[in-house]
Amino acid sequence: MSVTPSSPAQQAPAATLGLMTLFAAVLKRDLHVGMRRWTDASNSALFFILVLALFPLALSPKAEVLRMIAPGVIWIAALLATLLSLHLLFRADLEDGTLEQLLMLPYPLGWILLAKTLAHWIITGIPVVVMAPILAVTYHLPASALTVLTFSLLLGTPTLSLLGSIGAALTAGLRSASVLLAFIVGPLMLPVLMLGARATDLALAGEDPTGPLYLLGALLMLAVSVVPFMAAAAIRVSAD
Amino acid sequence: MWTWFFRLASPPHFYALAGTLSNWLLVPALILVGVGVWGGLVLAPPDYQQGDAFRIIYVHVPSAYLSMMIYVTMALAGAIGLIWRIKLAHAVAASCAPIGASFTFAALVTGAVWGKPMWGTYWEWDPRLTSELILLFLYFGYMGLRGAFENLNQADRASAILAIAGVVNVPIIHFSVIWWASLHQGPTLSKLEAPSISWDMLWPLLTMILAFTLFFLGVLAMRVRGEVLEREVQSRWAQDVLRGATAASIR
Amino acid sequence: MMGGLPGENPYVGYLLVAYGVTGLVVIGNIVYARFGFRATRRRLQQQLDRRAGRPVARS
Repeated sequence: MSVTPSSPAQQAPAATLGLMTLFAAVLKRDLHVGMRRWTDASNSALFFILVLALFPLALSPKAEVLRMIAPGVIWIAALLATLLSLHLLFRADLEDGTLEQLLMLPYPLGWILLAKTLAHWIITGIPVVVMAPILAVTYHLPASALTVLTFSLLLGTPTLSLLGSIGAALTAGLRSASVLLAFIVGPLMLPVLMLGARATDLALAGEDPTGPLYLLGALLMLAVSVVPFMAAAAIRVSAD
Repeated sequence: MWTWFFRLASPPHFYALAGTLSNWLLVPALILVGVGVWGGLVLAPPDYQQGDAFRIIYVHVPSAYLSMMIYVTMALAGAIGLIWRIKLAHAVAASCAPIGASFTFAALVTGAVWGKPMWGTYWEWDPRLTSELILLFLYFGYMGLRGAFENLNQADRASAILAIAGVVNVPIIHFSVIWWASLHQGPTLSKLEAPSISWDMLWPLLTMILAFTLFFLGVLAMRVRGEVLEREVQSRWAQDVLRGATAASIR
Repeated sequence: MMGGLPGENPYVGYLLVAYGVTGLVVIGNIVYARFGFRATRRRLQQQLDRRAGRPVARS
């Protein structure tokens, strides 16, 4: 970050950066930090694969069964993977005090959090979106449904990360936060889950999936515009 | 006119008022419950389709309505507390949660029990039951988050944010669940269309809804009273109250 | 009027459970609010008395 208060005696520093430059700077930094702790980030991706491996083993490896459950199961695995990775969003910054620094900056906190969440999604969400079609093939999902699945995940996982950021912000300072976080954020994520699975289901049945896909897009737009404010308020509470 | 409002928002005044207020609300509420139950169980004619099983509506619908209305109240109170920093608002929000959760539970149980004679099964993942279950999770999440903070101020503000996020989401959940279930047409949902329900059957329902609303307000007043006392125990007025109550006989 | 006597009515069990659970919730809420308030007040009084060094009123 190029602007940090260098001494406690300094008054609130003047906002000299443009918003886009700020966004890029936060994004770059968080990507760097995330890549350095890549073992943490890969946890969610590995979990995604693990869950998808469990269902054929526990239920049935038969193609008809797998094909039928694939939309829901893959989407559930994506949601769980997101839940698992959320604590990473603010943990590093809370630990080394960067979070308090961010709060003191003369820039909109929501904008900064948006950049952080984007970085988080790039590190944890994109691997899921990339791996999903590959794993969906093992579930005997036909090509048409595959593309819809991937597209729905592409639209949905950022929303999941955004919604998750509210929960992560609320529980950032708490000790054993992971189960509570899942419980708080889970219900919020349900519409995305259902729409994504629905879209893929429709494609699988040969019907038109654009309805749910549009709704997913709408939810993403809603999340991008509203969530930063809520997450900023939540972070302010946690940083007290 | 606004002075009345701000005076109400002051904890000592609310404390003084809430005792009598709650009695004035609870007594009529319980009377109305009695009237409604009598009307629903005895006076209303049996439904030609469902027989007497439909009478569960007289406890199920008011409970479900209350569960949602309380959540909205909780979110609204949290928002007021957050924006205008009125401490009483946070006390109200905190007090709402257990009441709302208990009525959500009641709605779920009565819904399940209604489902058995109606659909042949205690549970169906149909829109209404599922949305109600999710509402229960939302309440538990709220109470869990509150309990996780040691600092009361943090707990208040964090849970207010969570309640607001939840309230925005509840209609979305409801629509998406309806939409999802409507394509998996399972058992037929028998709906009581408003215009076609006879007055004999309708008036006990309206009575029960009114009764439950008054009941909620009465119980809420009582709970907030205790909550406010606890939060303000350090203050002068609270200590006066407590000291005064030790001397006089406890009502 | 309710069909048949309670003995013969097939729905009695369901109605009992439904009204019973709701009744429990209603009563439970009142009880919890009323007694909870009194218990809170008593507890806070004892807390104050203890801090002031006064004799603690036994509940």
